[in-house]
Amino acid sequence: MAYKIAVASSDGVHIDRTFGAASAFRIYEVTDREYAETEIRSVSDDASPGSEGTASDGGMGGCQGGREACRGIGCSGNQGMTAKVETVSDCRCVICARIGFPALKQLERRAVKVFDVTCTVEEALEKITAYFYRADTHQPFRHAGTRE
Amino acid sequence: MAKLLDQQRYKCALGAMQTVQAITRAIPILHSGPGCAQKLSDSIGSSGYFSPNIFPCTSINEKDVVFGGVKKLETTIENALKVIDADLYVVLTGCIPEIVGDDTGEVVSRFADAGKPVIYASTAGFKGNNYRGHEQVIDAIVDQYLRKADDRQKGLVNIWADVPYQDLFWLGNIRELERLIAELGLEPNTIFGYQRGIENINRVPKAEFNLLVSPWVSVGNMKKMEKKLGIPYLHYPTLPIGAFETSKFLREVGKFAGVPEEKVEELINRHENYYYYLIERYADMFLETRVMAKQFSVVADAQYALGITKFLVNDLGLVPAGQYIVDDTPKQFREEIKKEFANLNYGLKAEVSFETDAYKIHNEIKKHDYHGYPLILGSYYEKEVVEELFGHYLNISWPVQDKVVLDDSYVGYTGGIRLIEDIYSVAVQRWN
Repeated sequence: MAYKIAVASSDGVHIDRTFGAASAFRIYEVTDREYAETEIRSVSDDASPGSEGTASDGGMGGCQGGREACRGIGCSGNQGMTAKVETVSDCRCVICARIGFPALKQLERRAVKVFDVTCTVEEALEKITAYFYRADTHQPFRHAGTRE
Repeated sequence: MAKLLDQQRYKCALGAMQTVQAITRAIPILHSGPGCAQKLSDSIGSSGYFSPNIFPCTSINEKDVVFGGVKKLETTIENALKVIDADLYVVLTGCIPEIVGDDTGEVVSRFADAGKPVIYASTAGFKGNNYRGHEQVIDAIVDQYLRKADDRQKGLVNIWADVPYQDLFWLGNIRELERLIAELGLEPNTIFGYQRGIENINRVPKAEFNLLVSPWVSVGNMKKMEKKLGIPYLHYPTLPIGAFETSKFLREVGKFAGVPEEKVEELINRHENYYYYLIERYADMFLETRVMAKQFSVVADAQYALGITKFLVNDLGLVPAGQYIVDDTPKQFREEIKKEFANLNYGLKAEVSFETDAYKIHNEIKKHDYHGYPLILGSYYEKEVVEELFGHYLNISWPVQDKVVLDDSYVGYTGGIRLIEDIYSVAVQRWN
């Protein structure tokens, strides 16, 4: 079963971008346990304030500048985040250095898993693809992130 | 097809966090998902020192399944040692780290020089229920903390009985057992509850012998202590409730400990006189056949099913219907326990079944002819079926929903009187 993984990495070697700071995601396509980088997907410029707010984003949107109660408490809303989430919503998981709670929740709503880890891209992909392979083929999870 | 279990009466082995909680100034460190402890917590109970059910937890998630949870465990233990002032830290593992294969023992061994004892018990749910988890915690203390003592103290007796918090009356029971042992002129030592703790654990190896009052829970612990610490044990399988069993219990313990017979008999005499004085005062109520049910069933763990059945038959002369043991007793103990149920006064025998499925138990109860209203002592799960049958019902085993017990006890002579009060209060309320 083929699926995609989005990685927030500037150089393709290290996971050095948080979800929020990533301007692009490296997309890897995985078949069984083989993976290959297929594209670099930039976060669209539409990811600007006011472009979200539909019911489909899990009720997270629609607060932009609207709510009196939210003014002046330092909340910058979810501006840009919904569009960014959409960018990777066809992936099975996102690998990034860190992620904020609202973005994490939005990804969860779209059934996209998040692994916030600090290791090399290769190590993360090895472990995560091994884990998904075990899950898909109903194998036990003992040392799930290994290949034997 | 998947097998269903209706209304089980125990929790998974990680429920042993309540065993740790019952040791004052001991804290469990949970290596498990965040939901485990929440599901396992009861609203009752605190250690008297730490808040109940607020424990350090690694809260592992999917990421830790893939990348391993060892690092998180290490930092959690490290920080627990920094911010929590405890005497004993017990790491308990849930299913996830055990399935994934985290080497908890190795991580815990890094804290050997921490200054405070850190031990671990493998309490994955798939290894058994919280009765087994309780055993695992005691095993961990014996294996990883206690050392064989050079000198032993004559007359010092460690008492082991009910599983704390799983048994509603654990505190009252163990205190009453202490009182009885003290009255024999021995010195009791227990590790659970108010004003007990690490000092008592430290005294365990010095004891002359271990006294286990339980049909099967902790038999393995006794064997381990016999082997490692050289402490012999007396296994008394029946929880002594009421005069008949308590007198028998005192004689047996007295004989094992070498207490002079006259002293034991004098003690028994004194207690029995008062006990039967109370019974006699209410003799007309006990002899009035319309008050009490003719037959009874107990639905409880082996400890209570056996203890109460013996009490109701031997002391009150009731007739046992089917008895149900719901604690998933390991197979190797079942024959011995059955024999105890066949050994009742007046040549009576009780049918006992080891059944964990409430649906089947309730069907059996409905099918049985109790020759009138049944008397059912069981968990809250039995309430509905007893109401249907218009029977007498008393909640004595987990889960308990309609009773508040602070330090009440059903053990000993006074415990027997308490149980009579509770049972007959239920009955007389029906008729008045």
